[in-house]
Amino acid sequence: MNIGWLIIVVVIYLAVTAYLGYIGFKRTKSAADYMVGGRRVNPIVMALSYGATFISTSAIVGFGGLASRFGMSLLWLTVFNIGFGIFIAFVVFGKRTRRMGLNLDAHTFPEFLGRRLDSKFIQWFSGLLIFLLMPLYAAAVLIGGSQVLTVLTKIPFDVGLSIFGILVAVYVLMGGLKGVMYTDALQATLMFVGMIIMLVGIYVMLGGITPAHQKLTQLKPSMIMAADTKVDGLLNSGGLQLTKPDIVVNPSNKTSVTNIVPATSVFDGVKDAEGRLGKLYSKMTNDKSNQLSPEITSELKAIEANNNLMVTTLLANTNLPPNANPEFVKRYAETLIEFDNKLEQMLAGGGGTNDVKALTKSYGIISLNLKMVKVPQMGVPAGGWTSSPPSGSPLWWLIFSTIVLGVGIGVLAQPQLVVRFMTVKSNQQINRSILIGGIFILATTGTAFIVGSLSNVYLFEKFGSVSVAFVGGNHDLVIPAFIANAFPDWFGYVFMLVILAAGMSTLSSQFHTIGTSFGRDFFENGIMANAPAENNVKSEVKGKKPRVSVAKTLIIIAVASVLSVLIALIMINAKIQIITIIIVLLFLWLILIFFTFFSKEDGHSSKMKGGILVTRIGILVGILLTVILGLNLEEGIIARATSIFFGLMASSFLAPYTAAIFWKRFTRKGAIAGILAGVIASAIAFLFFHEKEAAYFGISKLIFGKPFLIEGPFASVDPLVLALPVSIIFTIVVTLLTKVENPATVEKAFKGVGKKK
Amino acid sequence: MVLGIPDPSIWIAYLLLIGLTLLCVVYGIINWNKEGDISDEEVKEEKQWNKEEIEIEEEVSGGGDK
Repeated sequence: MNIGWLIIVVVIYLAVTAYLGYIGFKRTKSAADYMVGGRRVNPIVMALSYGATFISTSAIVGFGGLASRFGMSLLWLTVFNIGFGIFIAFVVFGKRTRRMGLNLDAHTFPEFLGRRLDSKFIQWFSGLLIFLLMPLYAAAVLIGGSQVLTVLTKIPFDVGLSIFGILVAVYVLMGGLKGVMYTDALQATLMFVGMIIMLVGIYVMLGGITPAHQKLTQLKPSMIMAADTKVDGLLNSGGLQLTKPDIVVNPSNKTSVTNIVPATSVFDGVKDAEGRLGKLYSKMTNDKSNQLSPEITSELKAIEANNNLMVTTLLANTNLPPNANPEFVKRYAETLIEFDNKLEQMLAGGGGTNDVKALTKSYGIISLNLKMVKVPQMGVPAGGWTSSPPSGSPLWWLIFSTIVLGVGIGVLAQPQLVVRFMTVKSNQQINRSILIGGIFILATTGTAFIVGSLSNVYLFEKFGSVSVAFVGGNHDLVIPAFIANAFPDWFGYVFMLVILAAGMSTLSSQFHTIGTSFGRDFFENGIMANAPAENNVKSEVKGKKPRVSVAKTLIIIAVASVLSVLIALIMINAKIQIITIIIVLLFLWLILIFFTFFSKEDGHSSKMKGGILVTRIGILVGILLTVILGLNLEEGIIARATSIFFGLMASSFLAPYTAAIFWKRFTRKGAIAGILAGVIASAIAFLFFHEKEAAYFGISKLIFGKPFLIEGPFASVDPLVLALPVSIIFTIVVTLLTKVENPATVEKAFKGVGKKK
Repeated sequence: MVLGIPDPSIWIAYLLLIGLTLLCVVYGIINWNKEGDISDEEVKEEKQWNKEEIEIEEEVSGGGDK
């Protein structure tokens, strides 16, 4: 891919986005004074805006990549996405939320809950929770975008991620937020078109819908194992990776050699290739032209065919097509030979795993034949990619409890999505948007999961390697690697735009939510709720004592400490260079200073002035946390981080939110109990029960001496399965035991709700 | 075997997602012109709501052009 062209395409896209954002913003503003803003908003625009926020790089890259591993059972998530995320969310939840949001004059999700139940605590606590957890989801989206940038352009992962982060920060702070419907519509349209091309493309490549599925069905795991034995001796596409900046293959740029099995036989296979590559190398050295001759290219292909050595794969993966850069092939051949010689000597001299690790590290080799080791553990459904794993197996629980249930149901209680309903002008708009929304979700997530699964067939037919093995074990790379290898260059540019669109639309909503959660919900309604009225966002509390209480001061200190410790811990563990963090920080603070001091102050009411700085600090801290998390989360994390966030939101808010909009008898105490029970149950499940996270946090090990407390398949059951029922029970039982605190609020909230017009 | 997929739990999902999309389309068409009337009171509330919303936008993003 030509970087120059890519930059031009991206700059044009950004310019168009900025222009549309400007127009949209002007219209929204001028509309408010004399008519209902956006009354004329096209329902298609509303649906696309919701869709663009909902579907991100996480869905396309992360979940699409996961589908290459888990197969088509992930299509159940699309079923839930359309059934719950669109139909139920719009018809059942959306209409009520719109009307009640208006009745309560609520502008954020925590504010909605807080005002419905007359509770400042609910508002600031929910705001704080969302502020602290949202960076996890934002990081997943950011990683998704950066992986594509990295695979397509070959820039190192941390650089790609920082670029993506800064782009989004500028975009967010320049006003590229919700309300800017035209931008969202453009982004959604790009996503829609790009994904449809991908879907049609893969079915055409594989000979049609049914033949493609049949091929995938025939690709049984037993064959994968056979293929693995066959390619035992190769350093596959994920095999030899050099960390020199111009030839980085593995975007995560992390040394990952822990799973190496240093079997001598592994390296025998390269000997033939080594000899021929050596000869080829001398040929190339003598070749003065700057192009690989057809002779050399065909020799490379022959070596590949004879030895399963993925030379062309490597070339494709490193953005070095055979006619572009012979220098790389030379260096590759040279390094391969040198490395292999040393390795052989080492193994002959009885070297162990640690020696091999040290050697591979010294060569900047990131992973070595991970395929052979990882395939048995990679969790492919036993029946292949067109089957579900056996019910009740750990993989089944992972797919259905964490992914399908967590994300599928969790969507109903997503703060950044719920607010979309409040901006809708009538139920008619909701009715109309359902049409577009359903098609959009089918085209985006449906495509991602189908393409992810089918990429196995394509990559196996073309390179003899199934997807996850092809990218060296990190399924987050499957979709970008598939695009780079299966589609012509021009689609690479289109896909880059799809990714920018998908990333930016979701990230801007996430950071918007982070900002309002921190500024409006947590700070103004929590910390400053009893402060002098002039600093206060709401005049309702004027009568109260004008002071910041001791408890609230303690909360500020606690939050600041938790944040500092969190950032410090992450920075200490960081494998990234400290300079990257400093550059990102500097950029963010420059942006903050610029927009705070150079934006016109005169139109702002006094209550806003206090909020502006806090909200923006919230956004910047959020972006910073997101970038740091993005640089440090492990490989293949996108889908899991997203699922964890969706699950946590569902566990904490789904029961209280549902009760708030359907149950007049719902009480404040019931809501608080429901939220806290969900949060606490989730925390317990994550820290002590759920295998992966419990082992990661290590608290269970510290207290009980075991990494996690439940054995068997239940260790794979998502915390949501425990926490959501607990939250529902507490919500209902505590409500039944208490009385409605303020009937007037209930009357106000439900005014006009449920009436057909 | 439907669409080359042997496992019913997969092809059911495949057909279901197409079916659900059609449901969304049909629902959208049937209700295209329903629930469009808004009372004057609601319009008034919306004006107020929009003013506040724009102030939030400015808090977050600096407001842009005035």
